[in-house]
Amino acid sequence: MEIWMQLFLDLLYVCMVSKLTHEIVYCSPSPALFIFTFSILYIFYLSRFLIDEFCMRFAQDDIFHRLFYFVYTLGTLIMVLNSDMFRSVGKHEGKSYLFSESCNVDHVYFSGFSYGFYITRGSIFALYFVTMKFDESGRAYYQFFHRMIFLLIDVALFLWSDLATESANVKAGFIIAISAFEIFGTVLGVGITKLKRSGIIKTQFFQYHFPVNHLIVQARMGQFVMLVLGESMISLLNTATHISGDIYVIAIFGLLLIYMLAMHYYDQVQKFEGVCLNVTLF
Amino acid sequence: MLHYSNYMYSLPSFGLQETHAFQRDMLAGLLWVLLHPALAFCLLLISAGLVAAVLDSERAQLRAETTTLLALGSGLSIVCMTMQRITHKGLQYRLSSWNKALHLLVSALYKNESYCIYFTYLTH
Repeated sequence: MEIWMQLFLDLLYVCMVSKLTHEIVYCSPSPALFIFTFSILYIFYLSRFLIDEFCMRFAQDDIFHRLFYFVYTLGTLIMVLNSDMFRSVGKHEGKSYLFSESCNVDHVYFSGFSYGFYITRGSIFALYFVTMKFDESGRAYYQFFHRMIFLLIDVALFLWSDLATESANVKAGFIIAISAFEIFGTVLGVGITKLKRSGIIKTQFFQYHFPVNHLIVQARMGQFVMLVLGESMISLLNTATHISGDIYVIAIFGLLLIYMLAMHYYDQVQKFEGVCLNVTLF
Repeated sequence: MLHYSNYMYSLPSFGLQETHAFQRDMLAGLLWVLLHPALAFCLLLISAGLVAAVLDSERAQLRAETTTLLALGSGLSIVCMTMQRITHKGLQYRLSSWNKALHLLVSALYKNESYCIYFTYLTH
């Protein structure tokens, strides 16, 4: 599968970042808001990385993979549509509500988000299941079996939070718990792998036979940061209703801030090897 | 989840001059990956702060929340980026001599202070 379709998927994440930005702006700022927003962002980050990683290792250009990639995109769309669930419904129209709304989890949005969550996790589960089933060497089974278990636990936790309670605070707590569980799983996985390499744990699992090209991983991470920086640019240039001297000052110095952050992250001004004057016919 | 660990196995360098965190150590690669959502969240705070700054300037009513968002976002994003930079060569390398440690400390402090001072000036 070409990387262009992964970039297409990033369009949805641009919308997600925009929604989360407005959630922070219009809700009354509090530690709970920040933690909850970070949890949502982390769930999206993980969703993006799950499909990226699969595509880097196993994706084929056939009807099955195309179909499930579309299903995954559809699930992501539903998640993005409901990503601003931490809100006070009906009060987002006026700018006078800046930092003033008392927000909480909305039930309708939470349920919609959970449907998208099930679809994305179900489709990635199906993709890995087929890969493991048809891998005759069994290496994929040893490498990815634990991930299937964690995917199922994630879905079970979300299902539990969706059905078990009507309390908005408890639902918000579940979202935070799910993202914390995923971070814990990450750290646990690396810890177990280190123990296995040191010989303390003897098992067939956690043997890595399908590495990915780390250059592509770096590129995808860089694109993720770039799309968040892009939202900063939209916020800077697309918010003002009229032009004045103050707007010019904020725009110029805001650009300076974003530019410096980008320079600090990417750390270079790249010169492409194939300079256009040498390789084009014009 | 556990899947992060799968690609953090040491890989060939493909001719790169500088070793990336992925190639150096598994935990360093994990930290580099996990810092990305934190960095993205800090950049998100900057986006929200810029929206609030523009709206505040239109109404000539500056809020403390705007300054807080911008200062927190820019300061913490520099911290995240600095930590990501450290993962490439390791903290031991950065602390192997007084010069390197001082350079790390001064550069991080200078960048943070400059942003915070700048936005305090801009919004008040």
